[in-house]
Amino acid sequence: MQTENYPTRGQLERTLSQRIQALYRQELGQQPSKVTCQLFDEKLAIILEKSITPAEQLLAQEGKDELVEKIRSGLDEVTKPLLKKLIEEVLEVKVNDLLSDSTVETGRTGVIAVLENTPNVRNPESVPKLKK
Amino acid sequence: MNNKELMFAKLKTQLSGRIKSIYQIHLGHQPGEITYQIFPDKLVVVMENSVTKTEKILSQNDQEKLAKEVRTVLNKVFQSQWIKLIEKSMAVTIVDFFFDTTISTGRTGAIAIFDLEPKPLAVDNDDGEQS
Repeated sequence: MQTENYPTRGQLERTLSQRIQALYRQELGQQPSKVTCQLFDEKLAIILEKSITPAEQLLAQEGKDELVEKIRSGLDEVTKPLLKKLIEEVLEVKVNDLLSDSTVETGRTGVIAVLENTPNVRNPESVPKLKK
Repeated sequence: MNNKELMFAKLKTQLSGRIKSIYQIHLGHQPGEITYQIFPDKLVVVMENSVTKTEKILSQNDQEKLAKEVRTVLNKVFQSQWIKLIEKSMAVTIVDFFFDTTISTGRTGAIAIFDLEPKPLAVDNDDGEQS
């Protein structure tokens, strides 16, 4: 494919954000209010706002922290492979590692995807290079 | 390299040294390379070879669940130390922190979300004390 036919970094990040919102809505019945995707080097950082289900929030308010932790861990096990597949499909690169964590109090989820390569974009110079 | 880049380079060296020493002191384990990416509202950190030999042995011998439990507890212990280190080194307040490890790859990732709310300015009271 010619470079000019590749999507821009911004287009790719926006498409991925929309697809992740849809994935959460479909699989968990909980659509995050905002999903931010940021590509850098061979990695991707994702922040999901309001990603925690109402049931988990209610349990947390009732002090059932241990149960919430178990639910979150179970949901993570379900969503991680789906998220990995979705990222691979949209970015057209293999995901080597997916690290994910959530905070019930803030409702936020943070994800780091370690990619096999930097995805092909029309404006590769806009992808920040990793600082070692 | 401009001033900002120089400052960040110094910060990374400082942070890496301190993070590695936490693992060395508490686990006798020397982690691998630590990489950073800073954004206006967050810091993303990825650390290689962060898993101890004990966890690897458990994981490779049908004790994956136990290895995960060990890691969950260890990460809970280390999380607060990472937060303190980043806040102190970068002079920021962290409002959210995500921390996860994959035992099979040995990789740990962290995202620190900064407080971007402007702080109210200290105002002199009549009695000269600051509020």
